[in-house]
Amino acid sequence: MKMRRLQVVAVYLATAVVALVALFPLIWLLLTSLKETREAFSMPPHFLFTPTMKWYSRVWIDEGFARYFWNTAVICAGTVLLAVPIAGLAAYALSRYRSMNTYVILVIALGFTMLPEMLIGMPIYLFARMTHLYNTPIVVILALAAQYLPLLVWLLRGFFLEIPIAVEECALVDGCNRWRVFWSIALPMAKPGLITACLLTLIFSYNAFLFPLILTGPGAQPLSVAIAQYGAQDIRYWSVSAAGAVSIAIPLLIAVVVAQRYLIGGITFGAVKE
Amino acid sequence: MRSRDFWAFMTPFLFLFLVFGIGPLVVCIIISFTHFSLSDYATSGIGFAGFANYLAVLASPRFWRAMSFTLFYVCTTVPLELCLGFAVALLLNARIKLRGVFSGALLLPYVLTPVVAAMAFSWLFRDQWGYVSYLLGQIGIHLDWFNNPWPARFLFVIFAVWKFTPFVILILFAGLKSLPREPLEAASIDGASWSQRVFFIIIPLLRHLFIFVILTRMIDAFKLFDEVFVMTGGGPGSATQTIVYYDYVQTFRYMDLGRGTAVGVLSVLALMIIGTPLLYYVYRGQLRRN
Repeated sequence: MKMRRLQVVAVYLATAVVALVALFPLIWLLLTSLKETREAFSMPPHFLFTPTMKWYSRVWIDEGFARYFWNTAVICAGTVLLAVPIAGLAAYALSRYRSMNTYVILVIALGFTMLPEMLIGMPIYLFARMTHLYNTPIVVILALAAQYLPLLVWLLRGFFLEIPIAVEECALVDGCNRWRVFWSIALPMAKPGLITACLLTLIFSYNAFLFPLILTGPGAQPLSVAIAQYGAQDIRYWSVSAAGAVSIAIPLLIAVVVAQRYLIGGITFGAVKE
Repeated sequence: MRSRDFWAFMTPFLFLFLVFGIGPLVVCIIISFTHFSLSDYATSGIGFAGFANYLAVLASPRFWRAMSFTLFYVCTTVPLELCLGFAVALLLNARIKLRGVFSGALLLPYVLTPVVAAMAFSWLFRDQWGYVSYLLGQIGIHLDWFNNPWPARFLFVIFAVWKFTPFVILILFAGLKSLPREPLEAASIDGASWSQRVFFIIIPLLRHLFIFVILTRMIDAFKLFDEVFVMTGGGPGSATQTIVYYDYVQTFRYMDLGRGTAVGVLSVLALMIIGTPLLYYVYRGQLRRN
């Protein structure tokens, strides 16, 4: 019984340590963004201080982060709206059609996720310059959607495979066409999968860096690219960058708090077969 | 499903995938065989170059330095993440579920934008202003993480372990929960110790999950870019350039598209060279059986 108690204590201790290590840099970032520069970067650190919001107003108003946030929002929304429906259609078809073609397509798509982004990105950059789509959200959306398609197809296909086909077959026998079956039967049943797919796509496109970096200039830059420009400058701007970084992290924090279940489901999906 | 319906459903996917996936890849390979400089293609034109780009890249010591750092990074972070993640997952196995605040805490580093996370992380290690540097100084370790090549390289390893171990923990924890209880109970009844149970039952049963984690992390680690851009810019010198960063520099700083694409193709080949023996070693058991 003493073993039991010791084990419980050890587990709680391990939990606390892991959580602390995981969150420490972020907590430090938050503290830094609320301190005056002198307090923030002097060692030993001040744990008691009067917080100030001035860096946040500097970031959002003076530096115009609102514009970058808008750019990010456009890119994320566009990518989700483009990638998820297309992936859903393809995933449904790949889950219901028995043929060698499906495996060929799936394997090629999977192989694509292994490629470094520069290979795909550079020709898209040329394309963007040639068609004057450089520095627009459209080309970023197209590039990102194409990048996430294979992953989403694999994810959604897994969800569609779980749905029993008996109901669909009844409907088909009764005279429904395949589109009707997809729209009215399969899709509603795959809702958790669709939510997961939308959530993952939102987060991936929110965090995307290389494609937006090479495909946008100052006009259409999303948050990730904008903040990267600040990090490199000297220490006087680090408080501003910290406020910007915390601002960028907040939507992700909200997503984690609100949609944890779906996130963890999406992450563990390809791995663990229940 | 009728063939006609299948292709109707697949068309948008195939279109997007071919135009913005396969197409760029083919264009990239083609360009790697040409002389194509973005800065002066109007004057010197685009000409066929055979393997000249590949030879130039393979002869460049910067390329090999980038490749060796990338391999170093992959070969240190993946085992570290795996072992640490597995250890933590085992330790936490006593809990029924990872839920609420704790799983949220685990998710945040993994989900956070890489550039943001890298920036925040790197500030902790700055010489005069970083808290971790200060703590290390208190116990007598004085390291300039950013102006020496090896500390800078290890900085990325530490960062990756911090960021990606939660991913491993979450997956392996779910895997541990899905294991059948009978073999473990039978083994403990038969007198097997905890470590015997782990090494002879749990690990073999989780073999496929380990492989999934290793392959996923290996491929992602190979593509390291965002953090390099923000933390060190490939420095000091070019000590922390990864292969993707080197490609980026060739393409967008030196404007040499022929070289950049050659680097990209070579990096894919390298990934295949490394990955295929691993896959073969892992799946030869199954291949033989089939």
